[in-house]
Amino acid sequence: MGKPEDALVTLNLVPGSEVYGEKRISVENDGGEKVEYRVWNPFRSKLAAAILGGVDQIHMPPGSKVLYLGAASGTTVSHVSDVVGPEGLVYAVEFSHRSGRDLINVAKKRTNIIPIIEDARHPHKYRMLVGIVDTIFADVAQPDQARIVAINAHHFLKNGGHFVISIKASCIDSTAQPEAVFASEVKKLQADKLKPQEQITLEPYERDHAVVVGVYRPPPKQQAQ
Amino acid sequence: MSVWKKTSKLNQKTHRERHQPEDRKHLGLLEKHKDYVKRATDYNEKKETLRLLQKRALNKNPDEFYYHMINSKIDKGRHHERETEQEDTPEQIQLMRTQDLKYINLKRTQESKKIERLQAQLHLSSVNHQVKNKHIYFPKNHEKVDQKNGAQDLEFLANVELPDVDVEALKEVSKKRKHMYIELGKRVKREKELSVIQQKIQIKKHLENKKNTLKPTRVKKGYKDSAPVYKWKYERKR
Ligand SMILES: C[S@@+](CC[C@H](N)C(=O)[O-])C[C@H]1O[C@@H](n2cnc3c(N)ncnc32)[C@H](O)[C@@H]1O
Repeated sequence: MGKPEDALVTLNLVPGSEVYGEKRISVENDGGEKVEYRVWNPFRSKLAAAILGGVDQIHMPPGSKVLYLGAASGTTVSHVSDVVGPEGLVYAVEFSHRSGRDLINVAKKRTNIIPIIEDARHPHKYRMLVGIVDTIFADVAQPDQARIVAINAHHFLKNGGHFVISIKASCIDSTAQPEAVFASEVKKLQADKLKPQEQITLEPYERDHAVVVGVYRPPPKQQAQ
Repeated sequence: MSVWKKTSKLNQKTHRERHQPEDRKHLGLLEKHKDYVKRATDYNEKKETLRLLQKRALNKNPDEFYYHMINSKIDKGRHHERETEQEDTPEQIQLMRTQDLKYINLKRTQESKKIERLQAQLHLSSVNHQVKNKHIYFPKNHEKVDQKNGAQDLEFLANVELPDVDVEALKEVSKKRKHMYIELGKRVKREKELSVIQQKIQIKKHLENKKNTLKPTRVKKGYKDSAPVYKWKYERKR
């Protein structure tokens, strides 16, 4: 049967279960096996919006380790966990206890998610839980997001690892032009050895949002060690 | 009517008006008294109006100023109101007159729920939408890694074998999808329209509030696609 969806999907890591009421689509592959996909709604997830917008890289290949800052109830986190697959790991940091409860429930079914209910401003509090990661994703919607990403990168991001951050212009400066806000955030990142590579705005899914993807280059002194 | 008259009429035979006799049938239906009364009052009313208008026209003082003078004009012998930019569309006026805020709110939430449900499966990936996003690449110093990756992907896509697709089913599905997109577009438009009406009604309600001791001032005129904006003076609560 044909289905009329025009949708982004991820391969469901836990077939038969959904996380937040999203639609599931199961299809038979060539071998006659049933595989299940979950619809990833770009109107609710910035990362999905960036992917559909045509971002080149999100640096989360299967098997990679991702530190996710601002996990909320784990809707996007669940899709990231689908993407990195059973060999990958997602450390999901969220400081609100209420959202954290949902996040923990998501993590119960998905063993590759490690929920951490802590403030991302204090990475030393969870440094025992998190190892070196390949990529940091941040969507904390805080004015000091760039600094939060920078300290987490210094703690956990491998040399040459990547970061993907979502910037909501109104969260940082509601009076300035969004373009100017994005530019100033990019400057802040550069000052912290986070080299932006691309930036994409999220129309038509979100207004005045951008996602910036880049690479972490610690000072050359450390590289020489 | 006196009781006596009423009771005496009880046993009276009711006389029905005759209808058109057979031999005069070619003259059409015979008018009954009831219809005649209607026609006559209408005629007299019109006559009276014309008489009044004539009288007013005769009594008119050509040197007097009145606002209708500048708000209307005579074009080719006919009187026209000068058109002003209307604040509300006819549909809005009709809805605002006949429906209350609760109903509009209900309809609007229904509409947004349906939009959400449609958007969950229609991600605009196959649509050529007008709102374009901006994609910037920052200059790279000495890395070519990413580009290589991109090229690899393209190579991979060029060589990958596509599964057989059922063309008929594909056609069917794309037709269905097109309809869903059309529905989504209509619903988005309708939701917007409802939100404008909702705001207009709300503003009107607030303006009519008897507790306003200081009259609010209008900051922005209302338009067909946006409600007017008023500003209330701060009133200290005791
Ligand atoms: C915009 S929401 C993230 C939505 C999520 N990424 C998704 O797409 O489903 C931002 C979240 O970041 C959390 N947050 C804000 N500041 C934080 C901080 N300093 N540390 C950890 N989490 C934070 C908030 O509680 C909120 O749930």
